Amino acid sequence: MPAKKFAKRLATAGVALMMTALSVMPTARAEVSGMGTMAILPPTDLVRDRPTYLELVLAYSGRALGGAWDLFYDNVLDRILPPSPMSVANNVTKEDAMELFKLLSLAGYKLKEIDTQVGLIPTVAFKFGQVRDLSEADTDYLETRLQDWAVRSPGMGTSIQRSIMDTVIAINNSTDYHVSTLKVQFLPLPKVAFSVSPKTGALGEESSALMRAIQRVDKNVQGVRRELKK
Amino acid sequence: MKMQAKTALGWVAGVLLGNAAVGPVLAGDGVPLPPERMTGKAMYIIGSTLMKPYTAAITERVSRNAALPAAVIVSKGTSRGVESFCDGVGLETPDVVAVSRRMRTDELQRCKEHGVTDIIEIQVGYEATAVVSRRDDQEYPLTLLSFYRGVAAELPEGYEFPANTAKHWKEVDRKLPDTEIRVVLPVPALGGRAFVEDRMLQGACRDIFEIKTIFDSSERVKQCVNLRKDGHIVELDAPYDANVVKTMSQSPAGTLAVLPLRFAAEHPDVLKIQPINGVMPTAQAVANRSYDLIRPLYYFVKKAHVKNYLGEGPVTGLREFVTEATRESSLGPDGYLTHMGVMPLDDQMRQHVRDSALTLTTMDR
Repeated sequence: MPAKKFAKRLATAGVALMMTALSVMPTARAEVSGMGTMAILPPTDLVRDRPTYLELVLAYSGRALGGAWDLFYDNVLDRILPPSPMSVANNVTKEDAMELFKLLSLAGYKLKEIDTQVGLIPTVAFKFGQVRDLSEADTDYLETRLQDWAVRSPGMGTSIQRSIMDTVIAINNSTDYHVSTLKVQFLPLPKVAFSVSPKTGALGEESSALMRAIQRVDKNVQGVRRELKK
Repeated sequence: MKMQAKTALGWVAGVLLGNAAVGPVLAGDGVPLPPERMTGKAMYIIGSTLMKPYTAAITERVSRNAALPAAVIVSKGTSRGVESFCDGVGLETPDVVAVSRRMRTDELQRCKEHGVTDIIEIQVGYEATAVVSRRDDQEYPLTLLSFYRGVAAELPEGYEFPANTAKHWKEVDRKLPDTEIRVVLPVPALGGRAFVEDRMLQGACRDIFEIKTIFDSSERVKQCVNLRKDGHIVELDAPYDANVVKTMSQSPAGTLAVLPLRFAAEHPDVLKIQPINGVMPTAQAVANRSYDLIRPLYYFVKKAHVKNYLGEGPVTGLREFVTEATRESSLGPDGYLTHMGVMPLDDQMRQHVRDSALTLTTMDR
């Protein structure tokens, strides 16, 4: 990011300029004060790099100021300014974001679409569709993974992601409704949209009935095959 | 004030008369709750049978050290235990539920609907299960998937599910020895069988495309836990652990059995513990969860029953229970629960559990 580099250089240059201006006078004084002993024992080392107390104080203050600037820039400005689509793409491959995707997969959701809009305020959203409902064993496994994640990665970001998972599990465990699609938006602001549909009459039920019918036909065909072999 | 006092007196009288009219209050197993319980001097703990010895060990120490009456411990199973726990707040309901899995979100919701809003979660460790062979057998580099392919009645082939015809482990996975497939499992009525179905079989099915794409969980689970019935599986009844040792000592090479790790470790003269997914069930592998065949062990405590620091609250002994359950001498690597067979949590998790429990922090989900 050119803006960031420029700001860092500016801060470093400012501190360096201040240091140069302040370092000349005291060291010159030290050289003059050493003149009296030069005739007896010529100095073998005239390198003037030993800082005075004032220089030390100023150097530390400068470094602290620079550090504070870096901290401000890295932690505050990065959050205020809109990131580039590439940095967003890099962020979503991070471990915690991937953990959310993994858990969504375990919860029976599959990534269907990625919506992106490039502009002054870019938009990135991931749309997940339900591909299976959960058994009790699946739910228990998921709950354990969530708790483990909470302990290993505490913090606001992962906490929000865990809340998404908890909401999905809670709705799906209800008797009447389920989350049919889930849209997780990271930009411009984090947002989650749940599409909740009644369990009866949802597409999933139809798919399941279709699968049962196919399995019945398959069993019949296999029975006929066995008969033919005899 | 007068009105409030009258109302309170009326409520107490109503409760007393009501109780007298319907007889003594019954615990989860139908046994009447002792009078010490109804005055709040004894704890009432319900839950999993698996957890009973651990609960007894903790409450014995609490009773001895704090000079309290013995706790009422009722084994009712995990799901039914949680149901009773979530029935409400009051001395007729349990203070603690001991379970071998985490409380589910819908169970927590039911708890909240019945007024049990503040629950303290204490994980004390894990129960590990092992796959064992005979002592002299070679190593079986099993995975959950290869185990599944050895025991399933039908295996996916395209989108069809033809019958499993594999006779030798080598047919299932080329890395496995060329011995006949023979697996010893608990009969379906035993709790150990539920673990095999939930964690081993369903765990394997999560990685099988043809099964995980079945939408309906009841159809999917039915397909997944359907075991072969052609003589390759031997089902044993209670006392399962003792029966396994006897059966394995008389079995041909290649026979594998599934049983609790603590029991498998007691019989190195007969049994050899095998790795799963390349991981042996060591304390470290269990603590960092790289070993798959584990289930977490929990206590859930009703905060509304716990006395506060001023001594105000309905039940005596719960503060002491929370303290005892989270002591390093209880759940640490050298603690008495560990010596009884509980696999300890790692240092970070133990610290987290202890900090949360001792500050009476409630679950936030």
